[in-house]
Amino acid sequence: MMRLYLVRHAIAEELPEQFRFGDDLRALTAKGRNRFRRTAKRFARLGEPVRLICTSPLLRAVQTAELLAAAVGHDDVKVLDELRPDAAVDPLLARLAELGAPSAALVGHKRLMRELAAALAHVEAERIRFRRGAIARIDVRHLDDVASGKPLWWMAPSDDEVTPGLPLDEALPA
Amino acid sequence: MIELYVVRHGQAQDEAVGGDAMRALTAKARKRLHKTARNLADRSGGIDLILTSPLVRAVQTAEILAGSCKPDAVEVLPELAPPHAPEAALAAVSKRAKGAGAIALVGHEPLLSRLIAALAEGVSPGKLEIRAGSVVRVDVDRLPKPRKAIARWWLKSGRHKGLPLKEEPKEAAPKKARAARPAAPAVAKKRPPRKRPAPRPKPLEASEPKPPEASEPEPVAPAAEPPGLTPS
Repeated sequence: MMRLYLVRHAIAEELPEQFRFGDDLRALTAKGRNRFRRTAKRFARLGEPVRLICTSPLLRAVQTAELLAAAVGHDDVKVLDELRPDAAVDPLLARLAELGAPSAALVGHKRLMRELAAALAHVEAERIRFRRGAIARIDVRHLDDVASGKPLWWMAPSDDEVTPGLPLDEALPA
Repeated sequence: MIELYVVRHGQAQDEAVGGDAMRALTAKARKRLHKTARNLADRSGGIDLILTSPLVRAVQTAEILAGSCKPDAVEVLPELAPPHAPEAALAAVSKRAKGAGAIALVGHEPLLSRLIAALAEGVSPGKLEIRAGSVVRVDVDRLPKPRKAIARWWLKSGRHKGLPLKEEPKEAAPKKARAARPAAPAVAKKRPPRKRPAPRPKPLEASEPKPPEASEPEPVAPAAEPPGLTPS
C-alpha cells in the first residue's frame, strides 16, 4: 500500500517578468507562498508520514515542494521529470513504483494532478477541481493497478479541515 | 550599509534528465545547508530579501535558507543565472532591493566571484574560491556601484573572516582560511599582533571552533594598498 499526497503548486506569477524564460520559470507570488505555508503547516499538524517529496522541475513546483518539506520537517526531495506538466500518468506511476517509498507527496501541475486523481479514483478528470495549493490524499494498494486507488480526503488552501473524498465539481451530476 | 550575503548553491546531482537547469541538491547538501541556514540566521541580524537564480539547485538552496532566516520575500532573479554579467546582476539586484537592508543572493560560480570582485575593486575573481553551499558577507554603502565595500566574513562549516581565497603557497599563513581544515581557527589566533585589540578569548557563540569576532571589519578595497584588500 502506498499513500500518495497529490499537491498542486501554489499560486504563481501570471507572466514571467522576462518572456525569454517562459513558463518553466514562473515563481510563486508572495500570496501563493504565504497561503501555501499555512496549508503546509496544517498538513504537517495532521502528522501524516511523508517519506518522500517528489516535485516537477518547474520553478513554482520546486518552491512549493520546498515549503512543504520545511513544514513537515522531512528532507527527502526528488525532482522528477515524470511530474512535468506534459507528462503522463503511467510513466509517473512506474517511476513511483521504482522509488518504492511507502508514502510520497507529489507536487505538480493541474492537468497531471487531475488526471492522476481521476485515474486512481475512477472519476472523470473534468469533474475534479484541483485548486492551486490544494492537497489530496489517495491511497493505492498496487501502483500498477490504478483501480486499487482510494481517495481519502483533500484540503483546500483556505480550509481548516480536511474534506473526505475528492474536490469534485458539484455543478455536474454525480 | 547594505548587507549582502552572497550564497553559492549547495552541491547538486551530476546530471538530470532535463539538463543542467534541473539538477537538484543532493541529500547531503540539503543537510549541510540546513545547518548553514541556522548559522546564517544566528549571525546575520535577519535577512529581508532572498534573491535567487531560477535554476533548481539555487531555488532549493534559497528555500532552505528561507526556512531558517524567514525573510520577508524570496524572489527569483533571472540575472543571477550563469550567462549573465556581474554588472547586470547587480543592476537587477539594486532594482529589486527596495530599501532592504540585508539581502541574500543565491547563484552560481563563476558569476558570484565576479560579482564580489565587481563590488570590491582590487579583488581578483580568480583568487576567490566560493565553495558550494558557502555564504560570503560583503557590506556595501549602495548599489549597484558601491563606493565602499567591506568583506566581513564567510561561512562554510564555521565562520571565517574576510573573503574565501584560494590557497596560495607563497603567501603568508593567515590566508589559509579554508573551512575543512581543522587548523584554520588556530592559525587565525596565531596571527601576528596588529593595531587592533587582542582577540577575545571566546567566540560569541561557541557551537563550533571559529576565529574570534573582529573588532572592526577591514575594508575590502582601500584605494592605496591593494594587498590590504585581501582580508586579514
